[in-house]
Amino acid sequence: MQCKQCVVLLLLGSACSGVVISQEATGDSSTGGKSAAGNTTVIAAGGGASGAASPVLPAAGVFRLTSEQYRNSLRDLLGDSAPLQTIERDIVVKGFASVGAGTAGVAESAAESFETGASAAAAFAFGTKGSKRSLLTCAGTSGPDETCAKGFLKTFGRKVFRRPLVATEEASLLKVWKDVSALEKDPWRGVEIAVSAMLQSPNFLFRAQEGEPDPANPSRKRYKSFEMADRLSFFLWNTTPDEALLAAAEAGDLLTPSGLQAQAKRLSASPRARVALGAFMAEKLDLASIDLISKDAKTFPLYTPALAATMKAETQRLVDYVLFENNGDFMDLIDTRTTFVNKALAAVYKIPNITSDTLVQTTLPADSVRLGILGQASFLASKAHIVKTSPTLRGKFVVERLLCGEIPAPDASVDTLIPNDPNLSMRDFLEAHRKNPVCASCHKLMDPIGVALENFDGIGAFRTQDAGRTVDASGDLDGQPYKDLRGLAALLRKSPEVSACVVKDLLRYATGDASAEQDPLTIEKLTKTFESNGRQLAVLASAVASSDAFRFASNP
Amino acid sequence: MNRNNGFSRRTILRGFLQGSAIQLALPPLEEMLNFHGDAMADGTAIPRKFGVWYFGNGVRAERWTPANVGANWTVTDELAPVVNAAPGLKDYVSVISGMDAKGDGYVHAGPASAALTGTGLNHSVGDNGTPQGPSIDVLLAGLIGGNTPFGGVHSGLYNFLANGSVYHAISHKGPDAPNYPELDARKIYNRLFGAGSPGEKIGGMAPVPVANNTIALRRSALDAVLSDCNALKSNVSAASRQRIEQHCESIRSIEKRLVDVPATVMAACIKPMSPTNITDAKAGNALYGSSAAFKEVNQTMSQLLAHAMICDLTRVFTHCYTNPAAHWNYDANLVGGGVPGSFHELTHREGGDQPNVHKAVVQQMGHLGDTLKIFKDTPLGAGNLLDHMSMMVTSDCSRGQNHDPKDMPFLVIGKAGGALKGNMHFRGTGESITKATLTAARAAAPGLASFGEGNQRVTDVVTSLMT
Repeated sequence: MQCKQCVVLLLLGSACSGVVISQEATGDSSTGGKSAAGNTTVIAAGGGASGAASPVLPAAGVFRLTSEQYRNSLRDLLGDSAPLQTIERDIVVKGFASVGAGTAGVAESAAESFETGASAAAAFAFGTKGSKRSLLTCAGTSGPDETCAKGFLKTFGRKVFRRPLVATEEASLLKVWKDVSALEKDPWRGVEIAVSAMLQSPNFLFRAQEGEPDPANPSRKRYKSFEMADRLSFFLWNTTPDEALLAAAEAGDLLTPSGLQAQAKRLSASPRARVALGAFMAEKLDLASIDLISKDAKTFPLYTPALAATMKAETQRLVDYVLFENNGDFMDLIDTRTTFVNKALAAVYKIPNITSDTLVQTTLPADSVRLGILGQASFLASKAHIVKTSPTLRGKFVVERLLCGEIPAPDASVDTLIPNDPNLSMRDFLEAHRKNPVCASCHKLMDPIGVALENFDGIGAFRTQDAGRTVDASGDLDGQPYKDLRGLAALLRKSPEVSACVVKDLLRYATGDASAEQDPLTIEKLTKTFESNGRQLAVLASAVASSDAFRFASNP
Repeated sequence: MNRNNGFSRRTILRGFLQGSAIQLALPPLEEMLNFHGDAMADGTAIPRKFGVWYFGNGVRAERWTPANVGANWTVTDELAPVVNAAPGLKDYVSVISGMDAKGDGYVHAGPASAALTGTGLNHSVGDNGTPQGPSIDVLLAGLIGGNTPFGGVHSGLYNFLANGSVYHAISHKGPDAPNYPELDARKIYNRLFGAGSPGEKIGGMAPVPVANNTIALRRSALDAVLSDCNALKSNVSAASRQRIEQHCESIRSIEKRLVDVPATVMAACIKPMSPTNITDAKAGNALYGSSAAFKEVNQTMSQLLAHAMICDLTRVFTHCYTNPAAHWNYDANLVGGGVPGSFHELTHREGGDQPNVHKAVVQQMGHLGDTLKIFKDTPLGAGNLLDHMSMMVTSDCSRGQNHDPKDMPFLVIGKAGGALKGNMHFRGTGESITKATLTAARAAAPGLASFGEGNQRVTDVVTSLMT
């Protein structure tokens, strides 16, 4: 649906008003997915209203490895120094590459990249000086014979395909080994090329998650043993399953709640989970957009590309600190006054006495307007233009990334002419959005929140003046007033939507399904778990991994 | 057989910038052509080519659109660099104005999708959009590609960094199925003429490499991959099957190119030398920092595209000179006053009648002129490559300042084997821009009945442009 229709809903007094996103089922029949939702309320509960007996489960599907997953898998299969081919950029849907992976295919240029990558990786590992040749302990001085090769392909193939090979796959790979060994008169070459075939196979590049009928409940599907290993590993470690996980899958452990929880716990406790969850947060907070920053040198003499990198590092460091080093309460991200700066960034924040070029921990003054992730330059600078700030972009970020709201796209007939008057303050400048009802229907959802951040300029430096006038950062969040970011942060910290949005994002990320948050019961249950466990992200991750939404799928 | 021209027609034409020896290939051998030299010996016409040359951020309509309509349009400031690049070029260039991008209102992205695919966009949080259907070049590859080894060749100088495949690819097979432009001319060369490529065995100045097993080894691995693919296809649900099938198709396309190139293609041209003028600094988004190398890289890629077409390695191309909403940085000395920075930002920020935006558009159109000169200087049949091509040029808005989707800039270039008149200006009255796309496309593929969906669907073309 597009914004023009939103005006009609506004007149009918529907929920397309106000800023806080209601969680009530709206009766909207859209089922999420990629097209813009029916209106800006978050959950369109689909066919079943709240209180339905069986939860709405995500659909099963097929997911292409994201570039990070591809790199991590190659590294875990072949060793840390395996050459890494640049492959196509990921498709991001609903903020996450793991969701986009459900729509990504392998077009021709991608197939070529994967072929080149597979061949280079195989050569590295099994070529003349290959590091992995030692895996073929059965190989004699003249190289592996057929039995040896066959055994190796079966064992190694299980790691690459993340499940045991079927007979036809074994035969197919053995044929490659035979043909190439004969052609090149070298059985090692046969191994190398067979491995190359494995590493560009759809069985490696795609994670098929098709499931099987659930014997306990035929109305739904359950993910198969090895599919669960795959899901768990890519969710918690963003890489291919390790041997322990494959063994658990073999034993059927992952099909039982206790077996699944045990593995989920093991993975969550590992430092690898910390890295993977950090990557999840980087996506949730859209940190990649910092790489796109371009700022006017005259207006912002402090800005450099190196500073942009520091801004990103600051947020990553803070996220890691709050979630894993401090008491782990997610909401501290909203209002903490701890942060990490170096000399260059401290100059932007006007924090005195920072001389280090590397990040050091610091505490902002107790009453500072700047606090939390919304007070960080990474967010403030990336959601701004080359000179001016952008309350719209900043407000959109809060609505979409923190509240899990949806803003419809502008209609084709909307005139997006931007007036160029240097005498207007940003707040006044935005009046055009507010006065025109066609614009207002969507902009009123974003601009007021963004205005709360007007105390921070285009690179995040604090200011009290804009175009010669004192900044007025006041507004309200669903009727509750704030004077500036401090007030807004206090409201967001208490907001059940922010909490629920973490759950929805993590669920979506874990299942790869954009509609995974369609079931209010699942969200409610997981949010309760989150809230009653000090809002620890790792605990939530474990709970998600054990949830029905992670183990079962709807029958198509 | 027309042999009087003898050696003059077989003269090797040497390349351009800095002594780099990109050779233009020879025209198809006289023996291949009929008496008049304008068709193949067996009576079939020289296959038509279709191309898309794309640039981002629009133009200044008041300095772009010709004042008169009909034949022999008056040259404007922003179109002068296009037609002045070579004598007689104006005969090949027609202008369509007054048509609008309809469909999705998402700025830059919506109109990009409109002109290229005639569909709206799918987009969500973090995703600026992907078109809902295939792009015109993909449709044409299916219609006119024949047995060429490459359905399409996709080149480009510059790409955007934010998410959303509509920003990254001019060509799409469908939603989330972009054919990304190759930004490294060396890789374009390798794919067309390098080791193991279909063009490798075309005779050329470089020695033909000694036969090795590379192709056999590749084929061996790819056969196994394809068999995995076919098996997986039948093991996944219907919803996922198409994507797996796309993978299988990609493997098959690669394998198709591993067979020996037919003798007719081998005889028709000479393999160019590798573009040694291209360094890492002139490949990929290294060009982001400065536009200085744009001219050279654009020319190199245009040469490669020309070779690819006259060697019949492809009949379709897309050239992402710059992508929708491109943030390419123009040189400080281009626009004067030492104001470097993103062209995109300039279109929004510059006041008045935007003299610097105009200068930047003029520079870009000069590069389009370079491409056209190269195509026109490439002999093909009795004439040149442009005689047998229909190429569309368009952008993601008219006025960049406010992302105006109305009165979109659009050029139809080439004679398309006699289907296009050239030197015409047609001014529409707010029709969907897809009509312009269909016009360019049908000139190369007469069988294309319609283009676009919903309120962008069209079946008629601009007849005044056609012969």
